[in-house]
Amino acid sequence: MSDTDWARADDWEQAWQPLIDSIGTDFSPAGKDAIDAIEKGAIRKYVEPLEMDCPIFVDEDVAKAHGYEGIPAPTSGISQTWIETGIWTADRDPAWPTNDRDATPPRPPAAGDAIEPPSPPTSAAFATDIEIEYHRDAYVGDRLTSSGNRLISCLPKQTSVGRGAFQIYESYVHNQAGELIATVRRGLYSYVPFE
Amino acid sequence: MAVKLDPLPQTYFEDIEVGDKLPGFSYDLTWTEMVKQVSGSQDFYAVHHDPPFAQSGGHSGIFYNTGWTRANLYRLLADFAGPDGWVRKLHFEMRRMNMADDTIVVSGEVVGKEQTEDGNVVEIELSIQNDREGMATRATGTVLLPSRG
Repeated sequence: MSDTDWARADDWEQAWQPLIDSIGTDFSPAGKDAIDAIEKGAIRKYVEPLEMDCPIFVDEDVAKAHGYEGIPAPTSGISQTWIETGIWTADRDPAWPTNDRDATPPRPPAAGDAIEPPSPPTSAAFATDIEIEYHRDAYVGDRLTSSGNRLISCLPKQTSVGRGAFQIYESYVHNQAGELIATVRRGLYSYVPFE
Repeated sequence: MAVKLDPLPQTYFEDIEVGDKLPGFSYDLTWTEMVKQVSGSQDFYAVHHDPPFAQSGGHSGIFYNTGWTRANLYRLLADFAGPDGWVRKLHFEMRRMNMADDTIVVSGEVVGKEQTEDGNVVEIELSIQNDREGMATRATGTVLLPSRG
């Protein structure tokens, strides 16, 4: 018997009830610090391939002339680039422990209190949508912290690719002063593909 | 680096109307830009830089990442909002991939404007289309604009 056999049952939606009962739960409330403070050079490397040419991202005088505290980081990177935790640091195991062709580095250590959501086993998933609400700017020199994995919704649904559920999880980004920078909601569909 | 563009172009709430088109932009996606984007975003998931890995997952090749999609939409909103405006919210759905050798067009249209307690709120519908598959991303954005007064 496979651990994904729940998807073959007539009442397969019932497998998602424990997760539905957990709506509102934050499965990872502790924060993870970005590996670096935001650097001016990192912003240059971020905006260059995007041809993002607004001078407030590179010129402190221009930024301050328009009321910014310093050079702001493009807020589009707040939910990813500016909260990167790095692939490897000296206190972690080797990033690539094998020479396999498609070896991928392990995910960085989860925050200490993170727990797995009580969802049934699935073998595939894809991101569906992302919503980000920006509350304030982050600046060169700020070191951001990402926290939270709060379940907002769970909707079991059979689609053209399999049986699973659409879920939305919410997380938060703060600066070193504890000020909320952004609220991030990520949607995903995790499922068992049809055979 | 010293970049001086003074005054920077600024959009004011009184000057825009529902139905206005944002001045979008277009550019060619090259392999070098893809590598620069991976480095600049620090997104080293192999589907964005390793063709055989991406193909083993059912993709036709490597493709530009979510952060790149988000940043292009943000660029359009931020350029429209100007240095004294503010991008408050962005929501997007990824329907198709953008890949090297594509030419993309990022565009937007004002679909609502309202003065609220939070400020001068403008709602915008955005999209990213490429010349290979058409509509790749649909999005909505909310910006706050300054008043002339």
